[in-house]
Amino acid sequence: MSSIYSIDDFANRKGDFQKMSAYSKLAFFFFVLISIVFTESLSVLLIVLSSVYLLAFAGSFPVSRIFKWALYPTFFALIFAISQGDIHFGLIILLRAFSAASLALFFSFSTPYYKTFGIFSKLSPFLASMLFLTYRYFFIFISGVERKVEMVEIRGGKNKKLRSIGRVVGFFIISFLNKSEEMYKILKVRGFKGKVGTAPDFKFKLADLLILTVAILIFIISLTYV
Amino acid sequence: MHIEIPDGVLPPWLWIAGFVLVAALLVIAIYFAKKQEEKMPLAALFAALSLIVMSIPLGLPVHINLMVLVGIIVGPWWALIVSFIVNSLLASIGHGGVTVIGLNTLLLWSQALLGFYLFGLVKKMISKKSPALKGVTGGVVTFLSLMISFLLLGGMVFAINLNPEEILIHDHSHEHGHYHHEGDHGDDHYEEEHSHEDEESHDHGEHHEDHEDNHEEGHNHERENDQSDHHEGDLEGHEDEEDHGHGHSHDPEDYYDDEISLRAFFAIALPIFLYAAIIESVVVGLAISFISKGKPDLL
Repeated sequence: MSSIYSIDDFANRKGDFQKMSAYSKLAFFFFVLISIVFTESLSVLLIVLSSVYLLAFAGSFPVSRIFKWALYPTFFALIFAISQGDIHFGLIILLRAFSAASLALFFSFSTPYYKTFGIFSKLSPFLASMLFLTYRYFFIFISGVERKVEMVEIRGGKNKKLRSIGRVVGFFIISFLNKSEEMYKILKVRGFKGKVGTAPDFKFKLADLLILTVAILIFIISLTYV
Repeated sequence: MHIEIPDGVLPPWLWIAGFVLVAALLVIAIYFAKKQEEKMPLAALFAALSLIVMSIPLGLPVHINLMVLVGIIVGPWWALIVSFIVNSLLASIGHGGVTVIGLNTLLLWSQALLGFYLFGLVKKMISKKSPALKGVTGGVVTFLSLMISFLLLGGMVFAINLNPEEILIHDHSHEHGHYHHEGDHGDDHYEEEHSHEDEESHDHGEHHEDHEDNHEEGHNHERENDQSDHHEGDLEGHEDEEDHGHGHSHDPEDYYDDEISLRAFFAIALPIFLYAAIIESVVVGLAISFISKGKPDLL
């Protein structure tokens, strides 16, 4: 999950896309996603894909990394595509999965998680709190897990990797359980009442208008060439 | 362990149904979770740990996720919340789709739910046994839970070929003895279809062309409509058979495509799933054994 590290790093930089309103980017995301999921035209999917990668390139995001990571869900789509036994429909499935994954990555690279969770807190404060806590714990625990796995490997556990993973998982559940409870108590002392996130302010700029225009254009094209 | 369903694979009616079902379940889960709010850090810990162990390379593009262990330790309602959180975060990095968060959540939750109840069945019997035996039991429970959830995934692949409109039309015709359609196609088309049915009931090819011209629908829908047309023809031709109360009146040929899909899916996905399920079972078994030594009250 080093991808989350990298995404978090990019999302918190001061680029043009990062400065845009999270609401505009979310609207862009959903317009384009709907276009991807509902279109059955290969041309539309290629237009969507090119637009996403052009935007990623323009925003100086790591295009090759987005491409590489988007291949992972495409592999799963391949299983479904082959099962369909139809080349055209199979290609549509693959392109849909690849485009949607690329879009999701572009969104995450350009929008800090806390802003997305903040918007989500309007829907469900409870679930948004869980998202915040998970996100917080993830960064606290991942370095510890990596260190522990390294230690096990140095001590000759590499040949017994599976056993090491099992023990490391058990060890971390026990040791981090205490830590997470402590953190929770601290939150409670600080006045936590099951609500962490606050939705970001909505500031509409010219850049927001541009990205929304692109989204609406893609949406209209997909409606025209369903 | 699970095979994440990406965006654009499943028909909209299926993933929308998944979202609605998960939203309803989440309302109940949050209601119960608020009564056990002290479990929140543990649940968040498991969500984070589940994301972390997913980064462990297994050689194939699959990963473990510990959902069975989550179900055993935090219980079914918190496990649903953890499953939703994990899938939402995964979807944000392109693993699994955003539109299918609902279905992916249900798939993961099924593992946790099965783990919770299966382990619960044997919990008392093994409570005073050695940690190793508890670990083996945990491993077996994990393997069974994962394999059953794989069958659910197979069911979703089968559902790709289902057309709810077709089922609705059939049910309605079954009740009233004639066709009536209230869907997107409009009544005019179906009236026209009905008037030509006597002539065309056995000529599926021409029938299909009419359908295609009238709707200009995409490939998938064409395939579904093709099946639907066969189905309607069958309805006319085999009314007597249907009167005996069978839900569907497909010819064996109509199922041919579905069988191919499922067969191909199982042939490709089962070996990968089996491989990852064995690994996850061993890992969970070892983790349970370790936990039962260090913190037995957690299980």
